[in-house]
Amino acid sequence: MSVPLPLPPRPLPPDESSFVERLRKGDSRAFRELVTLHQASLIRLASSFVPSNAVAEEVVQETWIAVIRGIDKFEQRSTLKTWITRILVNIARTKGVKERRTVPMGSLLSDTADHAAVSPDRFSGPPGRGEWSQPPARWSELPEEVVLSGATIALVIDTVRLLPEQQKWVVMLRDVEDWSSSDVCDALGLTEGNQRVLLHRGRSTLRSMLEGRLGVAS
Amino acid sequence: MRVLFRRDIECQQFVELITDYLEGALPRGLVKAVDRHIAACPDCTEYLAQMRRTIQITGHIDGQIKGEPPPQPLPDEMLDALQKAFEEFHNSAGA
Repeated sequence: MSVPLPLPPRPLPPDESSFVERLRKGDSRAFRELVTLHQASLIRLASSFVPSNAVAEEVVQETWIAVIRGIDKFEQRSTLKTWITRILVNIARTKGVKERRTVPMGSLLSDTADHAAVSPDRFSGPPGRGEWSQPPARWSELPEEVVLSGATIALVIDTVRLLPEQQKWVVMLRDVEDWSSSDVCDALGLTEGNQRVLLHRGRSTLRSMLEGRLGVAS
Repeated sequence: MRVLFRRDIECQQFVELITDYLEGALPRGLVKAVDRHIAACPDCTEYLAQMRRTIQITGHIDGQIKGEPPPQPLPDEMLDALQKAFEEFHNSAGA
């Protein structure tokens, strides 16, 4: 397995309001541009929430149809990117619920599970104020090809797919799609504080799963 | 060395503050306490490096599903079909 290349930057159209105006006037070249610009990112997002690429493609297809129908009502209080993603989130959520009835692949990591970033067993001292008794291993001493190996990437992909849904959206948008926190809050309807809690839980789970592969104790 | 900073934060608190720290969302006083803790604690320095590594590795995934090839770029015929839907909707809405 090879390591996928970093994602290319996805710039927004320079003048969004005139771009939206073109869409509203039925400029099909503008619509093609819009689809081409966002398709890859939407597919990537949808793929993490549904059980197959075929369903992911359906979700994205439905998103575009909703965009076509809704562009006249788009009030530009957010960017096109966050508006389109909000539509995708809603469609993927509905689909995800439907699919889970037949495919038992719902989240294994419960949203109500113990939220400690690191198990309290690994600290000694007063509860909540302990010092490491089983400190983290030195990943920095591992060769790059181990840290970024296909197996490591595969483990992260699997773990992201098992995160509770809200954490998964936040991790996908922030750390995979490289969105700003304010855009993520806007697309998902979260406060900054909630977004950070979800990001913290998601990232902490990923780190702890990686620890199982890259080494626990030094 | 560590004993000097006892009144500040401990390792178990640091691992819970790390995201707010990386996000620049901590009050200034707490940032200083975290900075002092990291400077004095090689294990938490490593933990911070691990978290940064985790974020870096996560940035390399592409949402692919195990056992399936990564999603392909949009085929032209799909793009054409979407464009047709766009034109049809616009024409019927404008009619």
